[in-house]
Amino acid sequence: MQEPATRPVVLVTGVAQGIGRAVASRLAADGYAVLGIDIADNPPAGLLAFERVDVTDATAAASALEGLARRHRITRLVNNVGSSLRENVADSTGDTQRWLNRLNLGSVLLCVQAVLPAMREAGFGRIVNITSRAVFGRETRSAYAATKSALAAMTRAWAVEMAGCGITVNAVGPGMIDTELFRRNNPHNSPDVTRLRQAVPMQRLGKPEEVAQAVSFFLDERSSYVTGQTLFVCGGLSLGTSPPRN
Amino acid sequence: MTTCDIELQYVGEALVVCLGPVAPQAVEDRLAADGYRVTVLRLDGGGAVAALPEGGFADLRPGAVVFLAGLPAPAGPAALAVASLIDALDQTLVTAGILARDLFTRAPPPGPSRIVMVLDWAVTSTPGRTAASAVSGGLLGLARSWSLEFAPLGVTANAVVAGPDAGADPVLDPAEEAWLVRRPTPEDVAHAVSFFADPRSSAITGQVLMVCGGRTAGRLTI
Repeated sequence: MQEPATRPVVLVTGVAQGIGRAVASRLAADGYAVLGIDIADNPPAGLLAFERVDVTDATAAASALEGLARRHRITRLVNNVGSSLRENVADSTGDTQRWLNRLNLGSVLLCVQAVLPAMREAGFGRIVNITSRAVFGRETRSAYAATKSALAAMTRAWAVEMAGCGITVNAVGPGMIDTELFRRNNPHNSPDVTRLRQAVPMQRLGKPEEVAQAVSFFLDERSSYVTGQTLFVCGGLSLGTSPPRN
Repeated sequence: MTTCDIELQYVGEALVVCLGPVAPQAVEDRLAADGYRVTVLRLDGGGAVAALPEGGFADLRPGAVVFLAGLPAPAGPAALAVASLIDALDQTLVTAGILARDLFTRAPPPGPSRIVMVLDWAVTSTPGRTAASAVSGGLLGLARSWSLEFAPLGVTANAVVAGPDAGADPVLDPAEEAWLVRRPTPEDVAHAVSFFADPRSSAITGQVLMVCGGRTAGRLTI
């Protein structure tokens, strides 16, 4: 594997499956030296390095990230790791919110803190946060939507904060993407899922590779005047229009 | 002359929940003037969840619940301890979620039911206040999700964003005032809360109202 000195290095979190796996593979194909982390020991082929770590364990994650940042000059970061759980407010105990606060948000701050010194030193950086169309609200998923809406707010704030250092901070907001997590959380015949499926103007689920396309755009050196933005990859679902009547 | 076909009812109880050390006075005063019996719940000081009463709030049936976002200490991403961010998120989002569960899902709401989130300006694009951005962004996600999940119950959920000049300690540079329509006040924020809380606002849900004197005019919304 080529040394990162000649290839730009990107860190992608949550590379074992779904969108993160597709993003890592796409970025490797783009020519980046890709570093990956995940709780599952199942990285895609073509990574420069992989660390198995549970990002909800802040101490262990900080240590692993510090090691990666010491060994590699990371100037690009994709905060992809995250999860979701279908849960009505009536059934909530707070445990889902606590878990997702750590997984979907604490992990992001840990990663940014690990890579920010190198980005500032380089006067260059690209941070892409994977949010969700659920930032506009999602029934049966309020804890998840809250963490993604929080990440959207952090994206806007950090974009302004880091703009003077050559660091862009953007977000990609996937809609209904055909992943294992999506299938687990979205029973095919439940009314809310049916409503959303019918409201996708493109009338199909998205592919993880289509999300990776947007991530790749934001990471590009030439995307240097784009910051604080969210690109929704949702087949038009975020437009919120009524389904076509046949 | 037209008449409103929604009869103005006795508005009943209002609960104002302070998710941190914030000043609820203007909201409290306005809701009281509107005819509510107002209870203020303060969750600052040593863990919001632990401060909830035994058994939750199953017996309290307010027609309006107003959540006031807390203001975690300013810090950018490099200086903010991860544990501090998590604590702020847990205290805010878990508390709000449990209150919503207990107040609105345990039994059918007694009448017009309104949830209003009052968010900090950090939800827009404010540097140096990562935890405040996250907390208010999280509450916005809850409000939008509740607007969908609680719609069949007749419960509305909306958000008010208070401009940075609307607090007791305005940040507005007098030189900037020329391009605002007017500097907003805490009473202006309370007026927006009152609008969303009004029984007649029953068809408005999932919305965000900026009370910022025009600071967000001509820019990306949230």
